[in-house]
Amino acid sequence: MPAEAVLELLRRNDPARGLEPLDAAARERVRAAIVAAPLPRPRPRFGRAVLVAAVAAAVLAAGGWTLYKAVFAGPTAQDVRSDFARVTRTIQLPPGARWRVPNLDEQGVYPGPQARIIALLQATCAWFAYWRTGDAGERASALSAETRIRGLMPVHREGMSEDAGGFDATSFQAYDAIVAAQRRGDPAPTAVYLRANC
Amino acid sequence: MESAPTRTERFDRLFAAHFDEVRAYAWRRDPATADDVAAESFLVAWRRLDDVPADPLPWLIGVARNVRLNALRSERRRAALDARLARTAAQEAVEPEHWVSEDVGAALAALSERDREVVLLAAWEGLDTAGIARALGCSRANASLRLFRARKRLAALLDDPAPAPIGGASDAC
Repeated sequence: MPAEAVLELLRRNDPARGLEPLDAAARERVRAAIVAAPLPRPRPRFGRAVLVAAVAAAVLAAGGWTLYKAVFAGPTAQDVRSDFARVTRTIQLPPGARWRVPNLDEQGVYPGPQARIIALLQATCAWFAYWRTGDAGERASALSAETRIRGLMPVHREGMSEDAGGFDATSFQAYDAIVAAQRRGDPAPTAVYLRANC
Repeated sequence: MESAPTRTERFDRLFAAHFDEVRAYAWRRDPATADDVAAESFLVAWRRLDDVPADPLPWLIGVARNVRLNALRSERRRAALDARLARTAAQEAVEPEHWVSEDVGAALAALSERDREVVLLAAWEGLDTAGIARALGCSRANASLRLFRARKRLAALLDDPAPAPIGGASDAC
């Protein structure tokens, strides 16, 4: 088959060709719920003159783009990489483990704690693997580190947007269940986690 | 003189013009979560309205893709942590054999996930290479090359359904 015909064949096999649009009432409920959602935190309310002076000074001092990005936009891929480099300096890995620089879409949309989440997931993999292959002393170190990692995990509360990132309650419960199994000496949940995530 | 549209008016136009397309994108990947993914994507658009480009669909598809992948990652973490994971998130993310004719579905399933994503964005979402690049967050040249390769691989698989070596590319797109 000519490569040119492939896209046409796929279009004929589009599963959404018969997809009914959402009915008007449901659509309006979605729209209304969205526009009723709170917007990102507004800028502090300064007097106009103070605001103009502050913006001008900041533009001169730090560059307009940096300010714009910090105030109005979410983290870029470069921000996430920079944050990752900073965050990883504060999280200990087991002996022999190395951080992997995240592979990110350059124009992706990232939640604020993305770098921390990536680092904590990497650290979780490293310490879980260390626990699985470790002797008694190494397992004790791993358990101690895993407790510290848990304390660093940003919380994703019920009802928050996925855009906010973080670990939800079920993730914490499940993490705790794996660590509890480790304390009992049961390696099975750790092995499953490593196989699926690391 | 016409006054500038309010934020809500700008959003309403975006929503009216593209909600169905974003929902269809999500539905094609997972009908069960399509409505949630579409709503979540437009919530992101509402909050980041000033970031929405003049040609918004590829941007919206990119947002929907991230929403979907975030949800999959979250689900994968939960499933793995519950020790009940039977399949990887990558497998869960794409099950084209459920959506299309058997031979096309089998050929799509034999593609790498990245190749499949590019070729389906072109065919089903109607994105050109610039749009694909925007949606995936890669360069236009990269998207173009990947689409070219993916079409050739898919064509070969449709001609010869026997498992064939499919070169994996490691670029970021």
